[in-house]
Amino acid sequence: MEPFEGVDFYDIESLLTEEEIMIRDMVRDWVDEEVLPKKNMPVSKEFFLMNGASHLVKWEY
Amino acid sequence: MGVLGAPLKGYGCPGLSYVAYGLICQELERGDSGLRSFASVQGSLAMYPIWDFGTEEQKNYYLPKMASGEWVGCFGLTEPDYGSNPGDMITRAEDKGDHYLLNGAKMWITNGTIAQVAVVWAKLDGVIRGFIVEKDDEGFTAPEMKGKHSLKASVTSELVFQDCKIPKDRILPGVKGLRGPFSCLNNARFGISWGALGAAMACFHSAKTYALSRIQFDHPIASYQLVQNKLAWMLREITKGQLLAYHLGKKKDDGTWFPEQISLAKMNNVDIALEIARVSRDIHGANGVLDEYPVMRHMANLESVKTYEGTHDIHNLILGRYITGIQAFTRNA
Repeated sequence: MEPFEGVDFYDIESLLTEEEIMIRDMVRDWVDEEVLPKKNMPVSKEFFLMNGASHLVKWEY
Repeated sequence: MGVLGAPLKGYGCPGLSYVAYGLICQELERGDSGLRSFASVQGSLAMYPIWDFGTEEQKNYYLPKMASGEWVGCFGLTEPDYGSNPGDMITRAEDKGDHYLLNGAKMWITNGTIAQVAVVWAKLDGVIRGFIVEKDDEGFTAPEMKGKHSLKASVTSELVFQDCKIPKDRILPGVKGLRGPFSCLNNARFGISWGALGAAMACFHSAKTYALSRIQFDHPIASYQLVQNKLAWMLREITKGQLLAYHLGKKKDDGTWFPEQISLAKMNNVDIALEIARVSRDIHGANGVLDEYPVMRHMANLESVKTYEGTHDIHNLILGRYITGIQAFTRNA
Protein backbone atom coordinates (compact mmCIF):
# COMPACT_ATOMS: atom_id res chain seq x y z
CA MET A 1 0.00 0.00 0.00
CA GLU A 2 1.18 3.52 -0.65
CA PRO A 3 2.51 5.24 2.47
CA PHE A 4 0.03 6.94 4.77
CA GLU A 5 0.29 10.69 4.51
CA GLY A 6 -2.53 11.65 6.80
CA VAL A 7 -6.06 12.76 6.12
CA ASP A 8 -6.35 16.52 6.45
CA PHE A 9 -9.00 17.84 4.10
CA TYR A 10 -9.56 21.03 6.12
CA ASP A 11 -5.86 21.72 6.77
CA ILE A 12 -5.94 21.21 10.51
CA GLU A 13 -2.17 20.99 10.36
CA SER A 14 -2.08 24.77 9.90
CA LEU A 15 -3.55 25.04 13.41
CA LEU A 16 -0.93 22.84 15.04
CA THR A 17 2.27 24.03 16.70
CA GLU A 18 5.65 22.89 15.38
CA GLU A 19 6.04 20.70 18.44
CA GLU A 20 2.65 19.06 17.87
CA ILE A 21 3.50 18.31 14.24
CA MET A 22 6.87 16.90 15.25
CA ILE A 23 5.32 14.60 17.85
CA ARG A 24 2.61 13.45 15.48
CA ASP A 25 5.18 12.62 12.80
CA MET A 26 7.43 10.85 15.29
CA VAL A 27 4.59 8.55 16.40
CA ARG A 28 3.43 8.12 12.79
CA ASP A 29 6.90 7.03 11.66
CA TRP A 30 7.20 4.65 14.60
CA VAL A 31 3.88 3.03 13.74
CA ASP A 32 4.91 2.74 10.08
CA GLU A 33 8.33 1.30 10.85
CA GLU A 34 7.74 -0.82 13.92
CA VAL A 35 4.09 -1.81 13.98
CA LEU A 36 2.51 -2.09 10.57
CA PRO A 37 5.21 -4.14 8.79
CA LYS A 38 4.36 -6.87 11.26
CA LYS A 39 0.96 -7.55 9.83
CA ASN A 40 -1.20 -10.22 11.34
CA MET A 41 -1.53 -8.34 14.60
CA PRO A 42 -0.67 -10.86 17.20
CA VAL A 43 -2.42 -12.52 20.02
CA SER A 44 0.56 -12.19 22.23
CA LYS A 45 1.01 -12.06 25.93
CA GLU A 46 4.48 -10.84 25.23
CA PHE A 47 3.10 -7.88 23.35
CA PHE A 48 3.43 -5.44 26.17
CA LEU A 49 5.83 -7.37 28.31
CA MET A 50 8.42 -4.73 28.10
CA ASN A 51 10.86 -2.66 29.90
CA GLY A 52 10.49 0.82 28.62
CA ALA A 53 8.46 2.24 25.78
CA SER A 54 11.11 1.45 23.17
CA HIS A 55 10.31 -2.22 23.67
CA LEU A 56 6.61 -1.59 23.36
CA VAL A 57 6.20 -3.96 20.49
CA LYS A 58 7.24 -7.57 20.45
CA TRP A 59 5.10 -9.21 17.85
CA GLU A 60 4.39 -12.84 17.31
CA TYR A 61 3.96 -14.11 13.78
CA MET B 1 9.35 7.96 22.56
CA GLY B 2 8.69 9.73 25.86
CA VAL B 3 5.01 10.26 25.18
CA LEU B 4 3.40 8.37 28.07
CA GLY B 5 1.32 10.65 30.28
CA ALA B 6 1.71 13.27 27.55
CA PRO B 7 -0.30 16.18 28.99
CA LEU B 8 0.94 15.80 32.58
CA LYS B 9 3.55 18.25 33.84
CA GLY B 10 6.44 17.62 36.23
CA TYR B 11 7.56 14.34 37.87
CA GLY B 12 9.28 13.19 34.68
CA CYS B 13 6.13 13.59 32.56
CA PRO B 14 6.26 15.13 29.07
CA GLY B 15 4.07 18.20 29.76
CA LEU B 16 2.68 18.36 26.23
CA SER B 17 -0.56 19.98 25.09
CA TYR B 18 -3.84 18.06 25.01
CA VAL B 19 -3.80 18.53 21.23
CA ALA B 20 -0.43 16.75 21.16
CA TYR B 21 -1.85 13.99 23.36
CA GLY B 22 -4.74 13.67 20.93
CA LEU B 23 -2.37 13.43 17.96
CA ILE B 24 -0.38 10.72 19.73
CA CYS B 25 -3.59 8.77 20.30
CA GLN B 26 -4.59 9.26 16.66
CA GLU B 27 -1.30 7.96 15.32
CA LEU B 28 -1.10 5.01 17.72
CA GLU B 29 -4.63 3.94 16.89
CA ARG B 30 -3.90 4.16 13.17
CA GLY B 31 -1.62 1.25 14.02
CA ASP B 32 -3.97 -0.56 16.37
CA SER B 33 -6.56 0.36 18.99
CA GLY B 34 -4.67 -1.88 21.41
CA LEU B 35 -1.65 0.41 21.23
CA ARG B 36 -3.74 3.46 21.92
CA SER B 37 -5.52 1.60 24.74
CA PHE B 38 -2.14 0.97 26.33
CA ALA B 39 -1.26 4.66 26.16
CA SER B 40 -4.70 5.75 27.39
CA VAL B 41 -4.59 3.47 30.40
CA GLN B 42 -1.02 4.29 31.28
CA GLY B 43 -1.39 8.06 30.95
CA SER B 44 -4.98 9.01 31.59
CA LEU B 45 -6.18 6.25 33.88
CA ALA B 46 -3.15 5.26 35.95
CA MET B 47 -0.74 8.22 35.94
CA TYR B 48 -3.34 10.97 35.92
CA PRO B 49 -5.07 10.07 39.24
CA ILE B 50 -1.71 9.83 40.99
CA TRP B 51 -0.69 13.15 39.43
CA ASP B 52 -3.94 14.91 40.37
CA PHE B 53 -5.00 13.22 43.61
CA GLY B 54 -1.80 11.73 45.01
CA THR B 55 0.62 12.93 47.68
CA GLU B 56 3.99 14.42 46.76
CA GLU B 57 5.62 11.17 47.87
CA GLN B 58 3.32 9.12 45.63
CA LYS B 59 3.94 11.39 42.65
CA ASN B 60 7.69 11.35 43.09
CA TYR B 61 7.78 7.59 43.54
CA TYR B 62 5.43 6.39 40.79
CA LEU B 63 5.20 8.98 38.03
CA PRO B 64 8.80 9.03 36.73
CA LYS B 65 8.83 5.23 36.44
CA MET B 66 5.47 5.24 34.68
CA ALA B 67 6.35 8.11 32.33
CA SER B 68 9.44 6.22 31.17
CA GLY B 69 7.45 3.01 30.70
CA GLU B 70 9.59 1.18 33.24
CA TRP B 71 6.43 0.52 35.22
CA VAL B 72 3.10 -0.27 33.57
CA GLY B 73 -0.09 0.90 35.23
CA CYS B 74 -3.69 -0.23 35.10
CA PHE B 75 -7.01 1.13 36.33
CA GLY B 76 -9.55 -0.90 38.29
CA LEU B 77 -13.07 0.49 38.19
CA THR B 78 -15.36 -1.89 36.26
CA GLU B 79 -16.54 -5.01 38.09
CA PRO B 80 -18.15 -8.20 36.77
CA ASP B 81 -21.61 -6.95 37.78
CA TYR B 82 -21.05 -3.19 37.65
CA GLY B 83 -20.06 -1.68 34.29
CA SER B 84 -22.09 1.39 33.38
CA ASN B 85 -23.12 1.68 37.02
CA PRO B 86 -19.80 1.90 38.90
CA GLY B 87 -21.37 3.76 41.81
CA ASP B 88 -22.76 0.49 43.14
CA MET B 89 -19.40 -1.27 43.07
CA ILE B 90 -18.87 -4.11 45.52
CA THR B 91 -15.10 -3.81 46.08
CA ARG B 92 -14.51 -2.63 49.64
CA ALA B 93 -11.63 -1.27 51.67
CA GLU B 94 -11.55 -1.56 55.45
CA ASP B 95 -9.41 0.55 57.72
CA LYS B 96 -7.44 -1.86 59.89
CA GLY B 97 -5.49 0.74 61.81
CA ASP B 98 -2.02 0.35 60.30
CA HIS B 99 -3.24 -0.78 56.86
CA TYR B 100 -6.26 -1.10 54.59
CA LEU B 101 -7.79 -4.43 53.70
CA LEU B 102 -9.14 -4.69 50.16
CA ASN B 103 -11.74 -7.25 49.05
CA GLY B 104 -13.52 -7.62 45.72
CA ALA B 105 -12.86 -8.08 42.01
CA LYS B 106 -12.43 -5.91 38.93
CA MET B 107 -12.91 -7.03 35.34
CA TRP B 108 -12.00 -5.92 31.79
CA ILE B 109 -8.84 -4.29 33.06
CA THR B 110 -6.45 -3.36 30.25
CA ASN B 111 -2.81 -4.14 31.15
CA GLY B 112 -3.86 -5.78 34.45
CA THR B 113 -1.64 -8.86 34.22
CA ILE B 114 1.45 -6.94 33.13
CA ALA B 115 1.03 -3.94 35.44
CA GLN B 116 3.33 -3.14 38.34
CA VAL B 117 0.85 -0.55 39.61
CA ALA B 118 -2.95 -0.65 39.76
CA VAL B 119 -5.08 2.35 40.66
CA VAL B 120 -8.10 0.66 42.21
CA TRP B 121 -11.36 2.29 43.18
CA ALA B 122 -13.09 0.81 46.22
CA LYS B 123 -15.56 1.87 48.87
CA LEU B 124 -14.19 2.91 52.24
CA ASP B 125 -17.01 3.50 54.72
CA GLY B 126 -19.39 3.69 51.76
CA VAL B 127 -17.37 6.34 49.88
CA ILE B 128 -15.43 5.58 46.68
CA ARG B 129 -11.70 6.12 47.18
CA GLY B 130 -8.62 5.46 45.05
CA PHE B 131 -5.92 3.05 46.21
CA ILE B 132 -2.53 2.29 44.69
CA VAL B 133 -2.03 -1.46 44.63
CA GLU B 134 1.33 -2.96 43.67
CA LYS B 135 1.84 -6.19 41.78
CA ASP B 136 3.33 -8.08 44.72
CA ASP B 137 0.87 -6.97 47.38
CA GLU B 138 -0.35 -9.88 49.46
CA GLY B 139 -3.82 -11.05 48.42
CA PHE B 140 -3.68 -9.48 44.93
CA THR B 141 -3.81 -11.52 41.70
CA ALA B 142 -4.44 -10.42 38.09
CA PRO B 143 -5.33 -13.37 35.84
CA GLU B 144 -5.54 -12.70 32.11
CA MET B 145 -8.93 -12.94 30.39
CA LYS B 146 -8.97 -15.19 27.33
CA GLY B 147 -11.05 -15.51 24.20
CA LYS B 148 -11.30 -11.95 22.88
CA HIS B 149 -12.00 -11.42 19.19
CA SER B 150 -11.13 -7.75 19.65
CA LEU B 151 -8.13 -5.76 20.92
CA LYS B 152 -6.04 -8.87 20.51
CA ALA B 153 -2.91 -6.77 20.76
CA SER B 154 -3.63 -5.76 24.33
CA VAL B 155 -3.76 -7.70 27.56
CA THR B 156 -7.10 -7.73 29.40
CA SER B 157 -7.36 -9.01 32.93
CA GLU B 158 -9.31 -9.50 36.09
CA LEU B 159 -8.02 -8.01 39.32
CA VAL B 160 -8.83 -10.10 42.38
CA PHE B 161 -8.41 -8.84 45.94
CA GLN B 162 -8.71 -11.36 48.76
CA ASP B 163 -7.84 -9.72 52.07
CA CYS B 164 -5.31 -7.66 50.15
CA LYS B 165 -3.23 -5.60 52.57
CA ILE B 166 -2.52 -2.06 51.42
CA PRO B 167 -0.17 0.22 53.39
CA LYS B 168 -1.84 3.35 54.74
CA ASP B 169 0.20 5.66 52.51
CA ARG B 170 -1.26 4.18 49.30
CA ILE B 171 -4.67 5.82 49.47
CA LEU B 172 -5.11 8.77 47.09
CA PRO B 173 -5.99 11.59 49.50
CA GLY B 174 -7.14 14.15 46.95
CA VAL B 175 -10.53 12.85 45.87
CA LYS B 176 -13.68 11.14 47.15
CA GLY B 177 -16.61 9.69 45.23
CA LEU B 178 -17.13 9.05 41.53
CA ARG B 179 -15.44 12.33 40.64
CA GLY B 180 -12.13 10.49 41.01
CA PRO B 181 -12.57 7.81 38.36
CA PHE B 182 -14.69 10.09 36.16
CA SER B 183 -11.89 12.69 36.04
CA CYS B 184 -9.58 10.00 34.70
CA LEU B 185 -12.16 8.80 32.21
CA ASN B 186 -12.68 12.32 30.87
CA ASN B 187 -9.05 12.44 29.81
CA ALA B 188 -9.05 8.93 28.38
CA ARG B 189 -12.27 9.56 26.45
CA PHE B 190 -10.78 12.73 25.04
CA GLY B 191 -7.87 10.65 23.73
CA ILE B 192 -10.26 8.09 22.27
CA SER B 193 -12.06 10.82 20.30
CA TRP B 194 -8.75 11.36 18.47
CA GLY B 195 -7.69 7.73 18.46
CA ALA B 196 -10.81 6.48 16.73
CA LEU B 197 -10.06 8.91 13.90
CA GLY B 198 -6.69 7.24 13.45
CA ALA B 199 -8.37 3.87 12.96
CA ALA B 200 -10.87 5.51 10.59
CA MET B 201 -8.03 7.11 8.59
CA ALA B 202 -6.30 3.74 8.25
CA CYS B 203 -9.52 2.18 6.94
CA PHE B 204 -10.16 5.10 4.58
CA HIS B 205 -6.60 4.99 3.26
CA SER B 206 -6.80 1.26 2.68
CA ALA B 207 -10.19 1.54 0.95
CA LYS B 208 -8.97 4.31 -1.34
CA THR B 209 -5.79 2.45 -2.26
CA TYR B 210 -7.66 -0.79 -2.85
CA ALA B 211 -10.42 0.82 -4.90
CA LEU B 212 -7.87 2.47 -7.20
CA SER B 213 -6.08 -0.81 -7.88
CA ARG B 214 -8.98 -3.27 -8.00
CA ILE B 215 -10.24 -3.77 -11.55
CA GLN B 216 -13.77 -5.00 -12.23
CA PHE B 217 -15.66 -4.64 -15.51
CA ASP B 218 -12.39 -3.39 -17.05
CA HIS B 219 -12.06 -0.35 -14.79
CA PRO B 220 -10.88 0.41 -11.24
CA ILE B 221 -13.78 0.16 -8.83
CA ALA B 222 -12.77 3.67 -7.65
CA SER B 223 -14.20 4.91 -10.96
CA TYR B 224 -17.70 3.74 -10.06
CA GLN B 225 -20.19 6.06 -8.46
CA LEU B 226 -21.24 3.77 -5.63
CA VAL B 227 -17.65 3.39 -4.48
CA GLN B 228 -16.95 7.11 -4.80
CA ASN B 229 -20.05 7.77 -2.72
CA LYS B 230 -18.66 5.57 0.06
CA LEU B 231 -15.23 7.22 -0.09
CA ALA B 232 -16.75 10.70 -0.07
CA TRP B 233 -18.83 9.77 2.97
CA MET B 234 -15.74 8.52 4.80
CA LEU B 235 -13.81 11.72 4.13
CA ARG B 236 -16.82 13.78 5.19
CA GLU B 237 -17.16 12.01 8.53
CA ILE B 238 -13.42 11.95 9.24
CA THR B 239 -13.18 15.69 8.54
CA LYS B 240 -16.09 16.53 10.84
CA GLY B 241 -14.61 14.29 13.52
CA GLN B 242 -11.23 16.01 13.20
CA LEU B 243 -12.77 19.43 13.70
CA LEU B 244 -14.59 18.17 16.80
CA ALA B 245 -11.44 16.61 18.22
CA TYR B 246 -9.22 19.59 17.47
CA HIS B 247 -11.62 22.14 18.94
CA LEU B 248 -12.12 19.99 22.01
CA GLY B 249 -8.35 19.71 22.35
CA LYS B 250 -8.00 23.49 22.37
CA LYS B 251 -10.73 23.68 25.00
CA LYS B 252 -8.89 21.07 27.10
CA ASP B 253 -5.75 23.16 26.74
CA ASP B 254 -7.39 26.41 27.82
CA GLY B 255 -9.57 24.77 30.48
CA THR B 256 -12.94 25.82 29.07
CA TRP B 257 -14.28 22.31 28.36
CA PHE B 258 -17.05 20.48 30.16
CA PRO B 259 -17.59 16.70 30.33
CA GLU B 260 -20.62 16.49 28.03
CA GLN B 261 -18.46 17.87 25.22
CA ILE B 262 -16.12 14.93 25.67
CA SER B 263 -19.06 12.51 25.62
CA LEU B 264 -20.23 13.90 22.30
CA ALA B 265 -16.77 13.65 20.73
CA LYS B 266 -16.03 10.15 22.03
CA MET B 267 -19.42 8.86 21.00
CA ASN B 268 -19.43 10.45 17.57
CA ASN B 269 -15.89 9.64 16.56
CA VAL B 270 -15.98 6.02 17.63
CA ASP B 271 -19.35 5.56 15.97
CA ILE B 272 -18.18 6.94 12.63
CA ALA B 273 -14.87 5.07 12.85
CA LEU B 274 -16.69 1.77 13.32
CA GLU B 275 -19.00 2.49 10.42
CA ILE B 276 -16.06 3.58 8.25
CA ALA B 277 -14.30 0.31 9.08
CA ARG B 278 -17.39 -1.64 8.02
CA VAL B 279 -17.83 0.32 4.78
CA SER B 280 -14.11 -0.03 4.08
CA ARG B 281 -14.41 -3.79 4.50
CA ASP B 282 -17.26 -3.68 2.01
CA ILE B 283 -15.13 -1.84 -0.56
CA HIS B 284 -12.36 -4.43 -0.08
CA GLY B 285 -14.83 -7.17 -0.91
CA ALA B 286 -13.74 -10.60 0.27
CA ASN B 287 -10.17 -9.31 0.60
CA GLY B 288 -11.40 -7.13 3.45
CA VAL B 289 -11.55 -10.08 5.82
CA LEU B 290 -7.88 -10.95 5.30
CA ASP B 291 -5.15 -9.89 7.66
CA GLU B 292 -3.31 -8.51 4.64
CA TYR B 293 -5.51 -5.44 5.09
CA PRO B 294 -6.03 -3.62 8.39
CA VAL B 295 -9.78 -3.10 8.14
CA MET B 296 -11.20 -6.23 9.80
CA ARG B 297 -8.79 -5.81 12.72
CA HIS B 298 -9.76 -2.17 13.18
CA MET B 299 -13.43 -3.09 12.91
CA ALA B 300 -13.18 -5.78 15.58
CA ASN B 301 -11.20 -3.42 17.81
CA LEU B 302 -13.66 -0.58 17.44
CA GLU B 303 -16.49 -2.80 18.67
CA SER B 304 -14.70 -2.74 22.03
CA VAL B 305 -13.87 0.94 21.82
CA LYS B 306 -17.56 1.69 21.28
CA THR B 307 -18.34 -0.04 24.55
CA TYR B 308 -15.46 0.84 26.84
CA GLU B 309 -14.85 4.18 28.54
CA GLY B 310 -18.57 4.88 28.72
CA THR B 311 -20.69 2.95 26.26
CA HIS B 312 -22.18 4.69 23.26
CA ASP B 313 -25.59 4.52 24.93
CA ILE B 314 -24.35 5.95 28.23
CA HIS B 315 -22.83 8.92 26.40
CA ASN B 316 -26.21 9.46 24.78
CA LEU B 317 -27.76 9.52 28.25
CA ILE B 318 -25.13 12.00 29.45
CA LEU B 319 -26.15 14.27 26.57
CA GLY B 320 -29.81 13.56 27.21
CA ARG B 321 -29.43 14.73 30.79
CA TYR B 322 -27.54 17.81 29.61
CA ILE B 323 -30.30 18.71 27.16
CA THR B 324 -33.33 18.00 29.32
CA GLY B 325 -32.06 18.26 32.85
CA ILE B 326 -33.58 14.84 33.50
CA GLN B 327 -31.34 11.87 34.23
CA ALA B 328 -32.42 8.68 32.48
CA PHE B 329 -29.69 6.33 33.75
CA THR B 330 -31.75 4.73 36.49
CA ARG B 331 -35.35 4.40 37.63
CA ASN B 332 -34.18 4.32 41.25
CA ALA B 333 -33.49 8.04 41.54
